[in-house]
Amino acid sequence: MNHRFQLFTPPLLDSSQGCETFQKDLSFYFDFMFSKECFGDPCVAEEAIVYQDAIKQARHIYMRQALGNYHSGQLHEDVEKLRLMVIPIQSDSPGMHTLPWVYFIAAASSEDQYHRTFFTSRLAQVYQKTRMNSILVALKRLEQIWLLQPSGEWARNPSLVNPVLII
Amino acid sequence: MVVFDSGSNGYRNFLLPLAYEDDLVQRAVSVVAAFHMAPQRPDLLPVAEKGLSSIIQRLRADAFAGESNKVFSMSTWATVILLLVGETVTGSQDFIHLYPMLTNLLSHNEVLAPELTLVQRRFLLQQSRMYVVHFVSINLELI
Repeated sequence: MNHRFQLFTPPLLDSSQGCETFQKDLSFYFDFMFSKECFGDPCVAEEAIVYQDAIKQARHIYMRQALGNYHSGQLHEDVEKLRLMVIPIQSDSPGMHTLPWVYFIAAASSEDQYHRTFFTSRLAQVYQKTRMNSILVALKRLEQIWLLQPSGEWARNPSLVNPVLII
Repeated sequence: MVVFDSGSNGYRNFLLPLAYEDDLVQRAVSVVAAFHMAPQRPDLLPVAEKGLSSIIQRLRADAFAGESNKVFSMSTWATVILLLVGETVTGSQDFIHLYPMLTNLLSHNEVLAPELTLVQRRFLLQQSRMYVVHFVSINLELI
């Protein structure tokens, strides 16, 4: 079988497969990121639970936004639930660098200024720790998102702003 | 990237040792480290950029040489993953070129890096899936 050139060809996924990937792959992601040892280790078990729950909640918000499933007040409620989940995570918590993607989704999907400020300050906190410049790019993208999609509808059309790799 | 730097951190116990033996992986580790140190050592930035460009050229040359075992190898896969880590360090948009490489590697799973142990394959696969999930969710329209 000849596979030459294929490393540089366009990806085989299309957007529907992309959605499918996002919906299905979290269990695989969790299985490895949060091995059983994590939950048995008293130093990190509490954080591991928070990270898992926060990632699930961010995905839930994203999917509801993408599918237009929010009715009045529900978005605020879901984002507030996520905010409360991550409150125990501090700048010295083990693994605190895990959440930029969660913070980005929450900030981009929120229409409430208090929530936006909370999650951007969390992103800035991770940047202070990791110095990953992709976080600075994400903060700039958020400004554009709020301008172009002020009601938190970003997930319905993420391509309105330039790409960002926020992990 | 991993959540906790425990005994199962594949970057520490698989990719770093691999960098001692594999020239491409070694260069990728050096490039990412140089990018990360560049704010304190600006002299490293041009070195990192030159190194990155040279790695991409090498990957391209391997792909066009038509030797599938060289392209769909542990070395290529590990290098692409490391360069994606580098993209989060720099905040550059070059990941839109690296991402197709990753998905094309994954779509040839049947011939991809047969030399890997089960644990190593699982690590690279998990890191790859993590990038796919994060990339797809935020940049859906690009793919």
